[in-house]
Amino acid sequence: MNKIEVGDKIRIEKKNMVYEGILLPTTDASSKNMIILKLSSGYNIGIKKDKNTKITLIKKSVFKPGKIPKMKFKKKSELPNITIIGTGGTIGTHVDYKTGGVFMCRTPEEILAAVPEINEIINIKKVINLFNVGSEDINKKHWKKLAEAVKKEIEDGADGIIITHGTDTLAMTSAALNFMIGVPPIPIALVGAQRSPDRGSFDGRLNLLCAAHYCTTNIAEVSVVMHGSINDDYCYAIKGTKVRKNHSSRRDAFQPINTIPFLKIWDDGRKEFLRKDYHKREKKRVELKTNFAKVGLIKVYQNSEPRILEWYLKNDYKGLVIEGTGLGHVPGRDAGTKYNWIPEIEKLVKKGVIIVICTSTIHGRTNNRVYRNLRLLDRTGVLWGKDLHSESALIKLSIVLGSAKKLEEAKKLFETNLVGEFEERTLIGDVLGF
Amino acid sequence: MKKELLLVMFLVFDYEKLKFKCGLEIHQQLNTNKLFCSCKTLINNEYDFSFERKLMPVVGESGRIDESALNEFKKRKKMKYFGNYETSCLVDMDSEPPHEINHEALIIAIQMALLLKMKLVDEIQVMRKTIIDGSITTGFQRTALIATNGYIETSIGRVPIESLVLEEDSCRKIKETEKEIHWALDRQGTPLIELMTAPVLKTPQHALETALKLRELSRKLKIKRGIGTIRQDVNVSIKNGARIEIKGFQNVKQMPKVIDKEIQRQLKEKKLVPQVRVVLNDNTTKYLRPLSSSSRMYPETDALPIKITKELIEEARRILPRIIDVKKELLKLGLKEEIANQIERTGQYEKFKHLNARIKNPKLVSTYLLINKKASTELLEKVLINLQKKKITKQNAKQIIKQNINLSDLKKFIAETISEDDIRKTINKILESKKELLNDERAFKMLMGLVMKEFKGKADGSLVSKILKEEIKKKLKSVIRKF
Repeated sequence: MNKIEVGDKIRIEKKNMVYEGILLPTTDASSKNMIILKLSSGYNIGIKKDKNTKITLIKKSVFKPGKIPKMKFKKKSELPNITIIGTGGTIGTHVDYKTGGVFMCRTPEEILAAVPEINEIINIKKVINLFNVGSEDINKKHWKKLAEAVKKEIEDGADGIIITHGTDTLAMTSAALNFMIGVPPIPIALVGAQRSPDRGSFDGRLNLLCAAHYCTTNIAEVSVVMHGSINDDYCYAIKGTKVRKNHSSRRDAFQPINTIPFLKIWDDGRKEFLRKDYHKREKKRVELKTNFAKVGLIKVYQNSEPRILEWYLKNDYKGLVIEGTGLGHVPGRDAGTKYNWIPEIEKLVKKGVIIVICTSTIHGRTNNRVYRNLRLLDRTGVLWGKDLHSESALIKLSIVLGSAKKLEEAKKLFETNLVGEFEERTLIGDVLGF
Repeated sequence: MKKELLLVMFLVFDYEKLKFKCGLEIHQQLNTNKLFCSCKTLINNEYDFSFERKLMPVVGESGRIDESALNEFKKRKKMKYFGNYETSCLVDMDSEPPHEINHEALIIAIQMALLLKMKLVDEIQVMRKTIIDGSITTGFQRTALIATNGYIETSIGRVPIESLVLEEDSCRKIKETEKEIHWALDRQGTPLIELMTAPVLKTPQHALETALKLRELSRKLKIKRGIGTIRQDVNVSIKNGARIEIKGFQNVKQMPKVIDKEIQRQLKEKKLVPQVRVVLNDNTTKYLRPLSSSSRMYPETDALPIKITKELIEEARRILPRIIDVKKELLKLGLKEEIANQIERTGQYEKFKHLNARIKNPKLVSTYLLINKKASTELLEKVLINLQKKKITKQNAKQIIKQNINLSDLKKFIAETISEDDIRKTINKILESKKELLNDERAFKMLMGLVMKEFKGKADGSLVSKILKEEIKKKLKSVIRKF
């Protein structure tokens, strides 16, 4: 007697009822003793197994769930040679027969199988399946690995690089990559998807096509290329250090923060250049900075206590970004001794912790002098994030602290415009829902 | 051969000999909020926003796109969606994951399963049925099998109900041009119950009867009523034929005619291919698309499996309206079986019950109720009350119901009807002036003629006759007394 396994056609007899279908794996989401059966109609149902349930085998191995085809690339030498690097995320998800949800499992070849037209825009030089994780799990080790892979591909002559990534922390990785490799010699696009590739409404299709078009331009920048509207019509290529995911589920979640996107791109290849001051392609060596110092991000709010800062000091944090209110305020003397952040911040600065003040409004620039409390805060020796939003400031702070030998050098580096992350002018077009 | 042709011409078939195979697929909207969000399910033609989408072909769990599908995709029309804040949120826009399944809709589906004596599954698995014609923003319909193996009684035996599915409705197409299709989002996500009978229906008439029975049963639950809230599809095949699915019946009554015409078509056609056809105005059908296969199904990974617990079933039972045997109730009231059948079949029991509570005359109510199914309850009630008070003639009452006149026009008929007192007065006046006729043996007939002529049809004949008889008797008595 053959053992019954997933994929076999079986018969279940229970209380005068007979069900026939294909045995599927039972996921963690199901109740105890549930048998998941795929009926001939295609419907899956759960049948609870009890003492009186009889299961018999009809046929072995009828169905193998979850097989994804891979894209076969055609070599097209006339097109630019673009390397695709997969790191995981929704853009590479598939049904997980363990939990019943989706998980990151698709290789880049499997992702591209959903967008075969991409081969008409670019020649796929190489496909690298670097790692396959949800973006919430990405950390500095992944960043280092990514920067090294990017450097190698640039040195190997790639005309552009497309990196697929989960959307949750995509904007942080784009900032990290930009700070790690500096201004790149070629276009580098980070793309993701808010809807998985197993459905007709997969938004990654447009993002991938537009990323491919972006890689054919002269814009040598690290950019996030994602939906520009709720329609599947165009994407924006937004500077990697000045972009943020501002919605948990919309396809146009990525917005420029205090900047104007480089490019508006339609899937048919139409392009609208929105600015001229981007770095152009050039031949140059890439120097990596991949040391990250321990830094933290804190938000102040009404009734917030500055005592939390002691914990960071005790736990050896080298730098902190504080999201202040409005122009960059923290609660001061009038909030009461228990809630006055200014003396506590001063204590940390004196102990050699770099503190950067950003704004919790996300959009807009900090200021160090309009109000008295801002001036008092400024005198403690904090740095100002200016038009850099807190997550980007955090990554920059971590890298400058990791690469500088001395505190003063790190401070100086933070205040330097390394890759174009500081912009002198904030324009009307770049505020909220661009 | 000649005989067969004749039969075809007159659409008279020996269904058994033809190996007629027929089953129903009924989609009924539920009167709840949407299945996977809290939006209202109303038809609202005022739009607050619109957006455009491109759907790409994905095939089942294989994820492969073939060349022809891709070419088709490239030539596609632009899909434009229109929504309003009352009936559509980000879930409808495919811009937020589905919320938990609507509890009320789930309970109604379980109630329907109980009414049809079906076997509920132990755990519901929500599936995605791939649909990329643009009618659903996600590119798939969320659908879940709730129960199997039930039945409904019909005049020629039990019809097995194979499955009950709870699923979401698609968008309404509001415009189609050469380049664009416009969809209204309001309907998308409305919960639907899909019932599938076994392909055992004996005749087209039997199909109609079963459809009506299922509709009647579902009307006991919280479902939507009115145009577009129920869709009845028919699967039909004959000997050497192929399975044809017929969609788009405007009126369920068309069903037998359409099925017969489809049989006629299948008899004429040389090579039959399984397909979906749509009903046209003249009861014929037109090719719509190929039949879909089970490979379109994929697990909905955004939803958790739902265990059908004892508590859920108990909740469904607790709020299940008492289902009564309509026919039995009507027979108890002394109605003839034929009349009882007719009331049940036309689905007018509720109306009957309401009217009879006021009128308290089952025979009278049933007689007038069955004249015109479309007559409103209010009109019937007013007419019957006036009829009982003799303020309206039977003849007029029948006419009014047949024509289903406006309530406001009813006054005319009542005003024109002469009251009992006036009838008596007029009869006495005539009797006074025609005293000599009383001696004639044909007195009643002649007097009746004179009186009715006077009333010009505005008085109820039976009432006039009754009063006339009474008055003649009185007159004769007084004559005798005088002697």
